[in-house]
Amino acid sequence: MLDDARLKSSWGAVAELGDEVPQHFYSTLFVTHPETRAMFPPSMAAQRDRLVGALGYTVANVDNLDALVPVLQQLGRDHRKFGVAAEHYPLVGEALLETLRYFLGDRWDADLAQAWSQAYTVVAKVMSDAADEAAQLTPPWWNAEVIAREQRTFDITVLTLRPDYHYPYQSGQSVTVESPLRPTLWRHYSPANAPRADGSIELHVRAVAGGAVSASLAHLIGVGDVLRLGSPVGVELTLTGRDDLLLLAGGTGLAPLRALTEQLVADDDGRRVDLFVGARSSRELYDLKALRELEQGYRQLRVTPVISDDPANPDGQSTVVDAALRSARYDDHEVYVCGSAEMVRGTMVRLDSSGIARHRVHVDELHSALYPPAGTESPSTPAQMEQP
Amino acid sequence: MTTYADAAAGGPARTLRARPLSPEQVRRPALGRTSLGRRGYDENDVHALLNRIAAEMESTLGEQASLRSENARLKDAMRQWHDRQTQSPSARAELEVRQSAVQVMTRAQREADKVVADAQNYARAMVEHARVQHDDIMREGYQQAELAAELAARRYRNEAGSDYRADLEELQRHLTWAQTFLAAIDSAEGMLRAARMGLAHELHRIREEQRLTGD
Repeated sequence: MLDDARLKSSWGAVAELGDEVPQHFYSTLFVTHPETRAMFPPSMAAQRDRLVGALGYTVANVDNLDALVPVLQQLGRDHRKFGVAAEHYPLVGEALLETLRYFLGDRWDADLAQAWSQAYTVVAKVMSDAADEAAQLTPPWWNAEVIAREQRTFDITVLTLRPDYHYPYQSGQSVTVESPLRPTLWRHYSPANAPRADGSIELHVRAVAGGAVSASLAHLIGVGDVLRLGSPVGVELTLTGRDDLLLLAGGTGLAPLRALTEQLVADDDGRRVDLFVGARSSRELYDLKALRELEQGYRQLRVTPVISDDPANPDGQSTVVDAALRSARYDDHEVYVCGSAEMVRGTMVRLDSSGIARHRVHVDELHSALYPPAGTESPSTPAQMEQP
Repeated sequence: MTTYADAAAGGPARTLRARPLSPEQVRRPALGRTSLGRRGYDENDVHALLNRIAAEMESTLGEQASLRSENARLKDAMRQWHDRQTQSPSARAELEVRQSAVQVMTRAQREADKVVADAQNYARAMVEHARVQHDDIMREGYQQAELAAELAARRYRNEAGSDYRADLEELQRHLTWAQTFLAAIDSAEGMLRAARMGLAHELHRIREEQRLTGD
C-alpha cells in the first residue's frame, strides 16, 4: 500500500509537468532503440496524450485490479496489430524508468525505482499474456482486399472488403482499419452489413476535411488495394431484449444501424424497426437504395429520410431526432443513435427532455481517435475531428 | 472527454492532480456550438488560432526541454567533477551523447508535429472553403430560380386570360426554374471544372508517388 501511495504521488508530480514528459519518454525510446520508431506515425502529438492517459489510468487504479486488469488485457490484445512483441515491453519499461528518473531528480531513489519497476513488470505481463492468449485464436491483423468501390457523393465512398481469414464480428461493432497509404494510423469504421456467408464487409467512409486516413480511404484507395483490419471492438450498439427499435442515424453513422437492421432481418426477428436517416441534403442520402431494398424484404421496417439543410427544400427540414419524436411515441422502444459527436449530443438532449429513459438509449459516436482517453467516465469518445 | 471548462477547473479532483493542456488537446478541443440564433466565431478563424497556439506551445515545450537538459547536464558535470574516479570516461561520454541525441530527437519531433498539424489545418480549411462556396452557389441558384419561376408563372396568368390552364402554368414555372438555375451555376462551372482537373491531377500524382516510394 505504501508503494501504491508513492507510485501515485510520484506520477502526480511528473504529470504536472505536462507534454514534456511523454516527449522525453519517446525520444529516449527511439534513441536507445531506433528500430521502434517505424512502429509509430510521423506526428506523435496524439500518441503522447494516449500514453499519458493510459499511464494515468493505470496508476490511478493500481489498487483496483478488478477494474485495471481487463483494460490492460484489451490494451495488450489491441497492440498486436502494431507488431508489438514480447521483446518490446522491456524496452518500453527501460525508457519509462529513465524518464521518471530524469524528471523526478532528487526524489528518485532505489526504492521508488523498485516500486515502478515492479508495477511495470506486472502491467507488461498482463498485456503480453493477453496478447499471447489472443494469438491462439486470431491473427494479429487481417489483410482485407478491396473488392468493390463506389463513390456515392463527393466525400462518401462505400468500400467492400474481403478479409483473408474469417473475420468474427457482431453487427453494430466497429473495426479498426489501416490504409497502406497511411501506415501506422488506424481508424474505426463500422461494417454496414450483418456478417455474410462470403465474409465480405461493407464500410462507409466519409473523407473528413483535413483527415489523412479518411481522405486516403475515400479518394485514393481502389479495387485491389489491401487494407489491414484489427480486431472488432465495441459493445455499445448490440441488440438487447425484445422491444421494438428506434434507430437514429446521422450521415455515415448509418453503417452500424443498417448492420443491426440486417441482423434482425436475417434472424427473422419480427421486431418493428423505425429507422430515421439524416443528411444535409437529399443528394447526401447516400445509401437510400440499399435501405429501400431492406424495407421491401422486412415488413416491420420503416425507413424515413430526414433532410436538415437543403436549399432546394427549405420546408420540411429537421433534425433526425425531431422528425422521429414528431412521428410517434417511443417510450417503450430501445433507441440506438449513431452519428457525429455533435449529432449524438444534440439527440441525447432531445431524447432526455422528451422523457425517454437513459438506459434505453444506446449510443456510439463516429470515432476518430484510436483510444478514448483511458479512465474517462463519460461514455463518449473524442469527436469526429480527424487526427493527423 | 475533457472540455476546456473541465481542464480549467483542474479536472476531477481525485488522487491525481490535473496536468497542463498538451498541444494535442488544444488542437482537438471539445467545444460546444452556439445555440441557433446566437452569434459565434468563424470556425476557420478558431481552427487557425488554435493551431497557432498549439504550434507555439510545441516551440515552448521544445525550448523547455532544452533548458531542462542543459540544467541536467550542468548538474551532472558538477557531480562528475566530484566523483571522477567512480565513473569510467567512456560511460560518461556515452551518457552525454545519449542525452544530446534525446534532445535532437525531441526538437525534431516538435517540428514534425507542427508541420503535420499545419498541413492538416490547411487541408481542412481548403475543403471547408470549397464546401461553403458550393453551398453559396447552390443557394444563390435556387433563390434566383424560385424568383424567376414565380415571375414567369405570374406573366403566364396575366397573358393567358381565358385560355388559362393550370398545367401550362406549371410547365412554364418548371421550364423557367430549370433555365434560370442552369444559367446561375453556369458561370461557376468553368471555374469548378478547372479546379476539379487540377485536383484530380494532384491526387493522381500523389498516388503514383506513394506507389513508387512503396509507402
